[in-house]
Amino acid sequence: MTMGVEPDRPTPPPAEAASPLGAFPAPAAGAQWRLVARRFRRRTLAMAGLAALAVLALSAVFAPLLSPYEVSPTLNSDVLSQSRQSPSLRHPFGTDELGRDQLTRVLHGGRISLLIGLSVAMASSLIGTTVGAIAGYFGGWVDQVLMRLVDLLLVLPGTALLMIAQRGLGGSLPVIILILGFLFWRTVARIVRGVFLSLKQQEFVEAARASGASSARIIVSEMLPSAVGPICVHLTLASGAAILAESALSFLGFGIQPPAVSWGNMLAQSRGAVGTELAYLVYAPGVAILITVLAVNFVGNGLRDALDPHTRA
Amino acid sequence: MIALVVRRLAWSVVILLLASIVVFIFVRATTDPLAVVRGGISGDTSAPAQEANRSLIEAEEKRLGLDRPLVAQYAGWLSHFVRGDWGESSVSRRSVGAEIRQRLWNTTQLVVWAILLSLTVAVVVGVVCASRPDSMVDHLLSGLSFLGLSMPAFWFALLAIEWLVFQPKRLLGLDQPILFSVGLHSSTSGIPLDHLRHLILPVLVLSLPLSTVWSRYVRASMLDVMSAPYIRTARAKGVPRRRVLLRHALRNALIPFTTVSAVAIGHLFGGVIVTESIFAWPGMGQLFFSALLAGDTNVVLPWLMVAASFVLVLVLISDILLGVLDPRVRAS
Repeated sequence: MTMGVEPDRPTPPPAEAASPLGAFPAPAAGAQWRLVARRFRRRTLAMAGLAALAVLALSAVFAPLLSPYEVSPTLNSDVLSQSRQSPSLRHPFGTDELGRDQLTRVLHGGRISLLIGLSVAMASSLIGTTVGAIAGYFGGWVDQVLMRLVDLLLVLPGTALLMIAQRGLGGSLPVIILILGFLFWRTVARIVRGVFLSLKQQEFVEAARASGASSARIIVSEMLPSAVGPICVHLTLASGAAILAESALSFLGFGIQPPAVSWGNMLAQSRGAVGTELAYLVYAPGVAILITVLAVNFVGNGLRDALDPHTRA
Repeated sequence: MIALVVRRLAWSVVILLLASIVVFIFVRATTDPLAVVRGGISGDTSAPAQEANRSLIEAEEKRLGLDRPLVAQYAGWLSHFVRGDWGESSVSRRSVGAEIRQRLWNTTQLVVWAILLSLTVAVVVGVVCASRPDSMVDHLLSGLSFLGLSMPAFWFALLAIEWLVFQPKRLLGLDQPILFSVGLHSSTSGIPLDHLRHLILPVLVLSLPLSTVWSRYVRASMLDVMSAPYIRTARAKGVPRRRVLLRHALRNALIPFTTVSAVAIGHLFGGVIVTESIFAWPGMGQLFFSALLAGDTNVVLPWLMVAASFVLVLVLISDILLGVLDPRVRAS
């Protein structure tokens, strides 16, 4: 929840419902995924979210082609003459005090935000899956130690830890991704652990062990496939949470540093515009974050419902 | 019940101790306790000046015990901390303990109101949505909560300041805004109404993520419970619908929700940092923000411990509530 920087934030309903699809080993994996895809396609909101994400991703990738302006033009009288213009046809989102076109900056900011969302989600899934799988598979004291570590992370305020780490390590893109990823892994660790615990006693795992398969092999090729669904759900929802987290960090000045553009640091710069005639600067970056995270959440929820055989439709 | 509380309390102490180790190592590894000193020394690069600087830093290291091994440093710090001797801020030279006590009270006001508001909103929205699933009301409220949980709270704060502070003031031609967006109160007289006008916006912003996420949980949890056989039985017996909703369903729906809300509470301090920095609210969040910017390790370490304890207390309260709601927890 809370305010942006927090990992588990947009994870509405059945949070700890350990393994939605986990219970069966899925002998015909292809058929099952086709079923999931069909159920997903029936969800209008989820499909709309997917479409919105596609548009956002394309416009971020092709940002330099879409806009005739520079992101951070060198200051000269020509550029400055364009400053403080409220939204118009030439500058749909207006320009700031330095004459920078806001639409251009929103498009470019999307590159960093989307990149962070995606890479944090992947990094955290990787860490979380590893920890969760080890805890769930081995159980006993290994499980205890790892899960207490998760408890510990729950108590310490993540935002504060992120800010401290950023002070120590600097605000470069890889560092931000790394520290966010390090904070986001515990949700997926819990989920994967739940799936593994429920699978441990199943016959097919016993069979694999009896036929001499190593632990690593059982974990990766026998049990992991059952956790792929929940991991995918985490991957989507976490990327939304990561985008929110980055924006909050950058807003506080502890994230992506100017001259690099992110939606968060655009909002940080527009903070002083509130209550003045430049107030229009506040809207575009915020709406961009809102649409992106909303789309991601719709896709994530649609995916979860599609994977859960108990939901209607 | 008492055994449960005692067990939980003991567990909290263990967690706190573990947290202190993690926090100590983490802060030492990422921040330089002598940053303030290093920032203050002269930039003279001549050999004698350099020598003087080095001996100054070495003396400081010795004074603060930074030359001892990390384990010894930790033990020393912990024993002082437990005895209530939290040292002084390396920037303002004020007692850290006194500073934190004062800030904690301001933050507690925000947090308690935000939790109460969010709980009320979540229960009302959750029950209304779940009592008429897929109706217009359900879609509308669900849509709103999705919007709320997908927007950055600090952006919501900026919009609120623009539309609830500046625009009404401009449109109505007032000298003073109706709601204030800066600080605790505007005069020292401390009229309750004045305080309320300062409190409303930060509490709203802090509640936004809490109330929206919780509404989703209560709704889902209510829908789960409503399909249980005992609800059908109660209805079949002729118990009025409203009574079934509130007495049978809600009570059980809140059980899983209690654990979830504990998780959310853990994140509250993140929101506090952002909210207080926007509204210039002199609480814990602002203290952390300024201490970190100044590189004031003496404040950062105890701050993290207090934040962790605060969260543990709230989680403990929600555990006790769970015991009240669910007899099975009391029994085990």
